[in-house]
Amino acid sequence: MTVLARARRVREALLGGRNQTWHATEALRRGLLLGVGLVVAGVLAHNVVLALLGAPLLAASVLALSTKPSGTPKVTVLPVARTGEAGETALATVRVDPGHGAELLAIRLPDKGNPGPGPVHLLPASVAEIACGLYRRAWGEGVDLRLDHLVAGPDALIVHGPMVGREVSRVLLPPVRELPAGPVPARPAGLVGVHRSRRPGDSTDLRTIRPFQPGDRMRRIDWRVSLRSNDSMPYVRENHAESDADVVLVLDTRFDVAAEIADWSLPARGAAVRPGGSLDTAVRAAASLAASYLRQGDRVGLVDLGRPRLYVRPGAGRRQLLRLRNQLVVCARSAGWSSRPVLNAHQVSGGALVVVLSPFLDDAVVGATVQAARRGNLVLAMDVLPAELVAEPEDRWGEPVRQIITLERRVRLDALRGHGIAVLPWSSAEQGLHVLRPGARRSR
Amino acid sequence: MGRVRGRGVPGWRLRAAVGVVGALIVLVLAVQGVTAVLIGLVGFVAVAAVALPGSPAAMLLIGVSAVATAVLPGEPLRWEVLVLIPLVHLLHLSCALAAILPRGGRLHLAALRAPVRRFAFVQAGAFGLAGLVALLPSDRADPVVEVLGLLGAAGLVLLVAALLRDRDRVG
Repeated sequence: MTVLARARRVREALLGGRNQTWHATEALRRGLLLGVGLVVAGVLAHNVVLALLGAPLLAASVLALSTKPSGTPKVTVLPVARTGEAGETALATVRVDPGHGAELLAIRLPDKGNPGPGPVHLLPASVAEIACGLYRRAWGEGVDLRLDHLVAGPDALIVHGPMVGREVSRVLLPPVRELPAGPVPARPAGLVGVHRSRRPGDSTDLRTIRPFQPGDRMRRIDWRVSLRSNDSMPYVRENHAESDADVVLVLDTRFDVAAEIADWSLPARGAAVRPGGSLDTAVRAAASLAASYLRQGDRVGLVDLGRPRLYVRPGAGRRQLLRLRNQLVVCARSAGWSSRPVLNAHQVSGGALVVVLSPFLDDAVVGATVQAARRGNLVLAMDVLPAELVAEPEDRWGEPVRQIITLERRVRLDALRGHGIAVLPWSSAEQGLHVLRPGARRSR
Repeated sequence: MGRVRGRGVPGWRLRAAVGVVGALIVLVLAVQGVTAVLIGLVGFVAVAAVALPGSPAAMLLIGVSAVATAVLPGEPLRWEVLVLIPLVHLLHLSCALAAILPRGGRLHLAALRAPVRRFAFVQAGAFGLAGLVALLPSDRADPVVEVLGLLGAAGLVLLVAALLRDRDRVG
């Protein structure tokens, strides 16, 4: 290696590599070497054919090199919303400064038919702005844009790049489905809210009529009842208090399985969560339930059975719904962190409604659910496994395995019911919540 | 200055164009009576040029077909030569463009406007040169013209050496 070549390599290393400078391609070498070689050989050998075949290559190369590309191409993207809803299409604006003398731009842009950062588009370098749609389909974390690019001079003889672009990531929140009001605990906690409490309070619902006691307010005296009474005692009307309920959504992130049993041991391809799988269903269910309870003024919290650190304290309001939906994405990202479910007493306040969203594929989650019910909480088990499991068709043990799994699950769900826990498949959640709501009222 | 319109066409069409041009070159060589072994070799190199347009396969294909056509007997301006002139240039150009577009990419036809215009301009010059050659007498040239030709060739070699040395320019 000559000293000059070594010096050039050192310079390239210091500058960040050959791709960050304008450099020749194979096409330039081909055009110049073949063009000159054929023309010179034609002149020396008195062969017109060689000269005629070489002349266009030489002329095209010299013509293309007459415009020397220079400057540093810059590709920037205007700020895009980092959080959005699944299914919406956002618009990103990419600004291109290709430098002087550039003619072609190869840039990676999102495409409607392709998930991820999309294919490379070959465009004229004269485009100043590229408006590209960001197709946000599946909820979760993902990459909206990665503007890998290469800028080329005339006939792509000299290029700058390829440069790997910075990833523009986004979080798509799990979708919310309209649900009817679900069951609430028999003893709602808190001092205010929408649910009738057992305690006396200031609502309009009559609790009882009783004799006047010291400390009662005069305006509470029911004069009609007092005058009719024979004991000449004043009677007061006592109303119920109104309070809100604590709802704790318990997400089982340890399993992410779909209907096909053969795929259970395989990782989800191209996505953090298996579309239509148990975790996808559980996250969608949790988001919908959270929205439903928060809409009626209750406080909703979240527990990740596989990762207790991702606990969200119960809270109320629209911001809590956003917080929960964001946290659901975080929980799904770190799914499968632990094999043992953790549902401690301090994660679930006394009297809270506990909704366990799980495919119930092991005994440990049943144990944790029953333990929550024994602590006095109203517990609802939401089964998120696809309704019909599909056996592995190529394995003769496929069908027996499917039957064993189905039977084991049936035993577990029966055990839950035996402990007074309502079990509801997510596929029929809408009807189930309707049924459970009056039942919860009767029990009060 | 402008905006991008549409999704463009699939990028494999550019590679298909390389394949079609390569096949036409092989066909022209076969028509001229080139041996089957050489046709097979050139065909293999054409396939390599389609698969790896940024490789030296296109250079090999153009070089071999030019030399094979030059050594074959016949008129210098026969139709096979006149067909090969745009074909080798087209192969050179399509390989250059396909090399910067990955296989799954998308091609916007507006990007081809300037290269096609330059191609047409160069081909007009090449056919003008061919017409000039057709008008010149085919007997032995004057010694002065020979010397001028040799000096021109030497100048071209020096020009290429300078351009290749200058190829890794910092923008």
